[in-house]
Amino acid sequence: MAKTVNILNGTGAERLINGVYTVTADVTGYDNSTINPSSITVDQTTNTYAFSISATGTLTLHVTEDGTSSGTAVVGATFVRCDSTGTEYGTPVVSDSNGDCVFNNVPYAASNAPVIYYKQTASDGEHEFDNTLKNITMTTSEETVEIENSLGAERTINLFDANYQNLPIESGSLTFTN
Amino acid sequence: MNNIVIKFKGLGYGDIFQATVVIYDSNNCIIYRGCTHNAQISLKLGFDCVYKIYAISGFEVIKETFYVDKFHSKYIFSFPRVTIQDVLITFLLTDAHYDGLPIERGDIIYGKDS
Repeated sequence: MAKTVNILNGTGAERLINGVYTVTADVTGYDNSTINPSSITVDQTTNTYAFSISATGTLTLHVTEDGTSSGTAVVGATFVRCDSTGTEYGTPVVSDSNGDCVFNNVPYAASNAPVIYYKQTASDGEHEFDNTLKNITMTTSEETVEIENSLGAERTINLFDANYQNLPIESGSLTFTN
Repeated sequence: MNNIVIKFKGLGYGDIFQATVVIYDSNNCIIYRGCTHNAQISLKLGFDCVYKIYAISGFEVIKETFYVDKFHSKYIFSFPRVTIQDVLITFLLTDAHYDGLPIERGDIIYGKDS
C-alpha cells in the first residue's frame, strides 16, 4: 500500500512504523527517477530522513553592458541560486568570455514549474549590477535571461594639499577598494 | 453460535500488517485458523464459552484466553508494536545539485517492503 508525504519548502512529516520502505517522488519540474535514496529503513533510532532529487534544465544568464543579446559581454559577473528568502545555495557561477553564466540542473515544466530564485553577488569591478533577488519559471529545458551590467560612470576625483587651500597635487594616484 | 468479530490493534499505519490467528476451544481443539483482513477476523463462536487465541504478526505474539458472552459481538486484542513503532517521521527533500536548496513543493510516495 503506497502512502504520500506532501513536501512544502523541503519538509514533510508522516507517522510511520519501523520497516523498509521503497520511495518514489512526484515533484513537478524535476526528474523523479533521481530521488535518492530510493529505499529507506525506518528504525526507532532515527526520526528524520533526508532525500535529494535532480533536475535537467539549463538556465543561462547572459550579462552585457546594455542587457541585450548583442551587447558587449561582461566577464566575471557572479550569480548564485537562492530560495525565496534570498538564502544562497550551491556553488556560484561566473560569466565567461561570452558573458554567459550557466546554471545547470535547474527545474522546468510546461505548467506549474517551480520558481527558480537567483541573485547577482558581484560583477567585474567596472560595471554596476543589481543585487536584488530575481526569479524565473522555466517552461522549456533551456532558457536565457538577458542581464544588464552597465559600465560604471566616469567620476571626477580632485586631490588637494591639505595645508594650502585648493593647491592641486600635480601627480600621484589614489586606490579605491570596496 | 453467533457471529463474532475479533479485531486487532497494532498492525501498523493503515493496518498494513497481517496477523495469523488460531483459536482453540475449551477442549484445545482448533476451531479457527486464518489471517486478518483489515485487521480483523469474523467467525461463529458459542456464548458462555472460553476460548484461547493465538495470533502472530512479525515478531509480535498475542496469547490469551477470552470469554464470549451474549452481550458482546466484538473483541479487541492489541499487538504491543502500536505503542513503540508508530512515530512521526520527518522527510527532508533538497536539490541534489544545489546543496541544501529545499524543494518548494512535491510529494514523496513510499510503500512498505517489510
